[in-house]
Formats: sequence, structure tokens, C-alpha cells
Amino acid sequence: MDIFLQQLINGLVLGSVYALIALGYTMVYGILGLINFAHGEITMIGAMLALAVITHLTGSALPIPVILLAGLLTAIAGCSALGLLIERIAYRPLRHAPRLAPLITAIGVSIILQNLAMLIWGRQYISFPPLLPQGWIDVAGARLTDVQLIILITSALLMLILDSLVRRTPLGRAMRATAQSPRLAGLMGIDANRIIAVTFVIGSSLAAIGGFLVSAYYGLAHYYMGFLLGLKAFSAAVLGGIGNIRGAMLGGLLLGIIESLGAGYIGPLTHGLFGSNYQDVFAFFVLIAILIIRPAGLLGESTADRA
Amino acid sequence: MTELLKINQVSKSFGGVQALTNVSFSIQSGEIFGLIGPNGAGKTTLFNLITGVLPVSAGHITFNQCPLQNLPPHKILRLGIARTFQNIRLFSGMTALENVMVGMHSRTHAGILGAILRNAGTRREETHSKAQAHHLLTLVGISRHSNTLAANLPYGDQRRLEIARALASQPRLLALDEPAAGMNPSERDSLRELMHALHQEFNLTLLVIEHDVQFMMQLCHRMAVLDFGELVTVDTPDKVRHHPRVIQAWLGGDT
Amino acid sequence: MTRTPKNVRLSYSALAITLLALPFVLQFGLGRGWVRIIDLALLYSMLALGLNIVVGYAGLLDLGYIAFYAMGAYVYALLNSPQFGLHWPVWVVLPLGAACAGLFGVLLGTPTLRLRGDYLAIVTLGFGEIIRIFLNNLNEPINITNGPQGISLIDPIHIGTFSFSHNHTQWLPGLTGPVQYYYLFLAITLLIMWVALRLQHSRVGRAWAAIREDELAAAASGIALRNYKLLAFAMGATFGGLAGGLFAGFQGFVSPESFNLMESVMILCMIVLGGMGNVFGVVLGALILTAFPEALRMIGQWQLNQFGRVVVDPNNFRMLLFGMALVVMMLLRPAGLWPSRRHHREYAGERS
Repeated sequence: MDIFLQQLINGLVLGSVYALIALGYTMVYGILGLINFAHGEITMIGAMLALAVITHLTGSALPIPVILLAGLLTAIAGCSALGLLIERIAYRPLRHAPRLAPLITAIGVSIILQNLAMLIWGRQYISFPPLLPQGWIDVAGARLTDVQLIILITSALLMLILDSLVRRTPLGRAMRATAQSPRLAGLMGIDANRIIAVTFVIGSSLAAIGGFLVSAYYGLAHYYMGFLLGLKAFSAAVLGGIGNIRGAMLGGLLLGIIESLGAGYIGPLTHGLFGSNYQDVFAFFVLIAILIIRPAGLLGESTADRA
Repeated sequence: MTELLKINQVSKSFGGVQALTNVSFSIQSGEIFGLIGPNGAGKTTLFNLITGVLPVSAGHITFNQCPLQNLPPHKILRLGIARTFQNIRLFSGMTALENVMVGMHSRTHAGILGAILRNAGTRREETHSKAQAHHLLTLVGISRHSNTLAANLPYGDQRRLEIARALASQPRLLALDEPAAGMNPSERDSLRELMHALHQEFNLTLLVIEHDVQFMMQLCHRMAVLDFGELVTVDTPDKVRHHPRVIQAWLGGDT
Repeated sequence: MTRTPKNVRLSYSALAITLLALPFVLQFGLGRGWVRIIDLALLYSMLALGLNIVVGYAGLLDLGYIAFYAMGAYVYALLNSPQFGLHWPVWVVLPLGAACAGLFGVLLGTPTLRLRGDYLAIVTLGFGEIIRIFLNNLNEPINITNGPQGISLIDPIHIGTFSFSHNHTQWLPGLTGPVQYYYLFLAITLLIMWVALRLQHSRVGRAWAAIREDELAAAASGIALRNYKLLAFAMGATFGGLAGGLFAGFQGFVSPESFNLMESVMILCMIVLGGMGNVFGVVLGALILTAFPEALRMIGQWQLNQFGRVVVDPNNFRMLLFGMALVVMMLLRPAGLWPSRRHHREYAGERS
């Protein structure tokens, strides 16, 4: 049996989580032109919060879906508040500062969050309570687990909702206008601060869900997990064309698939010279190659500088 | 007079939008040539094609018989075309003097070793550059500001500094994109005097975009009129003034 | 104090004496550990100065800079350790490491330097990770880097029979290995500062500044963008490689873990915090960011002395405080502690 289909499924699942997290990067970048370096840590906090609540409620009389939902909602609420707080404290005062200044505060914030998480939840891996369905479906010889299915459906739904929110609602229009030109949007009566706040809430909520899904998928969470997740998601956002929402979705899915196929095939392709421990190298190589061919990302517009 | 810049059947489109269609004219060596037309007529686009900022979609541009298509901006500058920008692009964190010295880049040579070792040749070049930059700042009338950061210069002086920076490359053709924009009438008069003086002093050929038709009529020897990306006419100011399409299209009651 | 030539001479002499006496003061005053910390701070200063050429001068955001440091370190380690049984002379290995790093800088830069700012950041970041992953995994099929275990027993930096790692207390009390390295690193740091300053105030430095401020205007002023960006990249990488070689000899041990992304980020923080573009600010940033977390370690000892027990474990709070300090310092001084005159308006109007 070829591993192709299996790796494709795994890649799609992983990729849809990357996409959810990448959306947060891309939305903030689109509006503020800022790499929200702390976004990966928000994802981690989301996973941690959800796990804390779920672990606490496990064994209570509540039905399992309610327990999971309680964890998820806590994570969403907590991450939204956190996102707002970070924007307020670390980014807003620096909106007109030199461009790298908010990048440094963002780095500072992620160091704070990481160490805070370590102080609260410790250095060890935290495992997901055994509440999740363990079944799987056979897809042409490959295995699609229930958890994978849940992840695929959830993220597909969320992406559809977000896409129509941005494209079809007045709020979405205001967001796009602010991304184009905050000053002009302000003249049109759009409160840029409110739009930025909304962006952070949406991005952080998606990160919280992403974190929850990742910890459900791997059955684990760890205070350091946000770093690599954030890095991958950011790469995905760049791959798709940063600032572009559909690009982030595409980039996330692609990166997940590339990574997963790379991990599966890199050994056979190189006759065992390189093993699957090179899967990240593979992902980055593809990222770099794509950017060299399409410097603005897959769906990004090349902003030719008009004099 | 010889033909210096030749625009031959040049077109440019952005995506599906046709910005310039089959524009042809040439500029003679030593003349002051104007480019006028309403907003969106394609004047700045044409500038960007000539100076290599944007690639040409179709047609040819030659400078001194040398084809310019696909050359990057810095090579075009080396051939002798320098420009200024419509919305002033100075190096705002550098002093006026440093801005002009950057403009001298193509006429100087010191590399990394020269920079580190600061040998006699490099020192000589640096001293010469500085003196030359001072001279140019004096010429455009802002030598008192030589150590001011470009960002802190008054608006009119920023325009002048940009001209000095362009002159520093010793161009044969100086292309000015709306040099008088945002100036009051007396500033415009002194700018026009400056341009005449530069034209004399360096035997420069000038290519100027400007909205102010009066200003252009007094400045230019010949001018091209663009409208909706097409060339309406190329002629002397007097003839342009009386060209029916010019009057009809946008001079309106101006004259 | 007025700036008469005499006063200037006086203050330079005072500075020189302070710098010369510093390791002995630290060693006898605060303990030997502090001399090592200062040595590391000097290595970081070199790195920060190198990255400053890329980020501060030319305005190219490089998040994978540590890869060049790693390259210099591994070149030194492989050619000067039992790993392959090679023991090449230092004066060959150090320049070789620097040159390798510089070459890789050009190889990486050639295809990527036309990317816009933040895209360049992610590509360089990816490059940094690629290098680290290779170092981590190149122990099979042929063992080159010894994988995650790293390479140990690296020869110390030595000139003839003089090894910088050996104590020479018989010559002078307190002349220990770290003190000797201090003088070596100080000399090299000063040399790099001098080179950086000369570059800054030259035709090349002006071209970089022009590119940083406005690429289009720079190109229209005759600057070949790609060549100058490559030059900045290569210069920065070369300094990084040199520092890496020194690090390997100083530490005697290298492993991929020392070259993770956080290190690149840290060096960037040093530059931005100290004052991008300003050589002195950059060194200040490097010194502060190296010493600050170490100083926080001391809090534990201090609590022990004060309260007789450790109330809060400083190891847990160290990085937390560090993160907070980064945020607060940036909020208070967005242009850095010692900003360069040129950078006051940096990027401010970019998104107009």
C-alpha cells in the first residue's frame, strides 16, 4: 500500500491547523504591517487553557462534548483577552515608531508568555484527557481518524465563515478599507482602533481553536509548542502571500501537505541518505524556492512601487 | 541639434488598463522639453518607463542611440538620465550634503577596501565629492542647509535638493517630475530661473512634467501633450496653445 | 567638561585604563564567572556589529544571522579537534571560517535579496533553521558534525605555544584563561567597530543608507541595489563567521543547540535595543542583553543572603523579567538607547 494517500490526509489535517493560525498572522499584518511574533504563543496559551479546563472537568458528571466545549470557549475567551491586551500594551503605543520596535516588543511578549506558561503549567508535557473518540474511517486503504475528521470539518467551516465575513459584511469591508489605508478609512468614519481590536480578537480566537485542535491531534501540549507552530504558520502566511486571507489558507494547507509528503518520501527519494528528520528542511526549502519564483507569495499582489 | 532621447511606439499597460498607447516623439539635445496633460494622462508612467522604474510593454526607447528597455534604473542613470520624483523621494535621515554625495555615486569609485583603508585615492575622491556637493548645493541655492537633515528642510528646498542630487550624477538629460508642485507663484518664478540657469550652465537637456500650463509655456522650447495615454501633439508652446484639441480637451477657459 | 584636545586625550586614556583593568576588577571583585560573561558579551558585540551592517546600515531584516556564526564555529571545530584529528593553525582556520560564512552569505543572498523586507526575514529565518537541522543530522550516513552531541575537545585559540585557555598566573596574578580571551576579544571587537565606523562614513556606507531609506531613489541615484545588498550580507556574514570561530576556540565545545533561532532574535534585539545603525549603541545593547540575564541569576544568591532562603526561584523568573524588560525598554525608547542620528525617522513614513 502506498503511503501517499495517508501522508496526504495527515498533511491536510496538519495544514488546516497551520492555516487557522496563519490567518491570525496575515490579518494583523494586513492591517498593521506588523509581524505579530507573539501569535504562536497565543496559540500555545489557547491549548494550555483548554487543557486545564478539560482536565479539571474530566470525571465530573458533565457530558464529554460539554467538557470539550467549555475548554474551547475558555481558550477562545482567554486568548481574545490576551490578544487585546498585547495589542494595547505592546503594539498600539508603537504604531508610529521605527518599524522594528514593535517587532522587539512582540518578541518580548512571546518570551513573557512562554515563561509565564512554564511557571503556571510546568516544564513537562501535559496530556489530553482520554475523552476523544478513538474511531477511524477507511479511505481507500488510508486511515482517517475521527479526530482528524473533526479537525478538517472545524477548520473548513471556520475558514468559510471568516472568508464570507471579510468579503460580505460591513465589518469585513471596514477591515479591508483599514488594511488599504488606515488614514482614509478613518476619514470615512471607520474607527481604526476598533477594527484593529476586532482583528486581534478574531485572530486570537482562531489561534485558540488551532491550539486546541493541535493538542487534541497530538494528545499533548507543552509550554514550548507555540514557537514551532508559530514559525510554521508564519511561513504558511508568507507562502500564500502575507496580508492575503485566502493566501494564508492555501499556504497553510500546502505547507502541511509538503511537510507530510516530504517526511514520507524524503528517505526513499534520497536512497536513505536523508531521513524524515529532514522534514523541516524540506518544508523550508520549498518555502524559499516558491518565494524566489513568486516573490510576493502565491496569492500576494506584487506591489510594484509607483513613483 | 541632435536627437538625444527617442520614444518610439511605446505602450504600457497595467493588467488590463492601458496607460500609454503608441506614444512616439523625440527630444533634441539641449532643449527644454515639456510633458503636459491632465491627471492620469500617463505622464509619470512615461517617466518611469524612461528611467527604468517600470518595464515597457511594447515599443522602444533609445537614448543617444542606446536602447533603454530592460535596463535597471542605475544603469540608465549611468548612461546620463537623472530624475526627480513627483512626491519628493529624498533620503530623509541624511543631511543635504550626504544626499548630494549619494547622487555622485555613479561618478565615484571607492569600494569596500578603500572605505576601510581610507587610502590616499579614497581620501582625495571623498574631498572632491564633498567640494562638488557643496558647489551643487550653492548652485541650487541651499548651501546654508548643507548639514541639515533632508527631512527638516522646508518643502521648496527639498525640491531643490532633489534637483541637486540628480545633477550630481552629471546627467545629459535631467527629468523633472512636477518640480513646481505645491509652490507659490514667487517660488515658481525662482524655480524657473534656476532651471534656465542650469540649462545654460551644464548645457543640459531638460524633460519636465508640470500641471501649471503658464509655467510650462514660459519654460519650454517644445512640449508634448498627452491625454488618456495617447499623444495629442508635439509642438512649440505657441502652437500647442492654439491646438484645437488642447483647447477643447482641457485648457478650456484657461487661456 | 569642554572638548579641548587635552580633555579628549584624558577621557580616552581613562577609557583605555578602565577597559584594561576591567577583567581584573571583575575577577577579584565579582568572581571569575563574570569575566567569562564579559567574554561572551564581547563575542555578542561582534555578532551584533556584523548584523548591524545588514540590518542597521542596509536595512535588510535578517532573522537567520546565527547560521553564519554556526558556520564559523563548525569550521573551526572540525579543523581543530579530534573529530577528524585535524589541528590546523588558528590563523588559517579563523579566516577560513569567516570566508566560508561570507561565501554562504552571497550564495543565500543572490536569489533572495530581491524579496521585500518581511519576506527576506522569513527566508533568512528558514535558512538559519536549515543550517541548524543539517548540523543536527549530519552524523549519518557519514559522521561529519557528530549530530546533537556536538563537537568537544576543540583546541583552544593559540598562537605558537601560547594558548589563550591556559592560565599564566605565574606571569601576572589573575592572568587566567578568560582574562586572556578578554583582551583578544576586546582587540577584535575594537577592530570590527573601527571597520564598521569607516564603512559607515564612506561611499559604500552612504549607498547602504540610501538603500535603507528609499530603494527606488537609491537606484535612481545610480546605486546597483543587488550588489550593495549582497555586499552588506557578505560583510555581516564574514564578521559572524569570525565570531563563530572565536567562540568555538573559547568554549572548546560546539553543538547545534547554541545556534537556534532565539539566538538570531537575541542579536537583533541587541541592535534594536541599543540603537540601530549606531556602532556604540549596538555594542551597548550587546553588553546589556548579555549581562542582564546573568545579573538576574544573582538575585537568587541575593535572596539567600537577605532572607536566608530563596523566596522566588530566579531561574524561572529570569527570562520572564527579561521579556518584560524588552517590552518596557522599547516602549520608553522606541529608537533604542543610543540611536543613530540617521535612524530617527526610519521607516516612520513607510506605510503612507
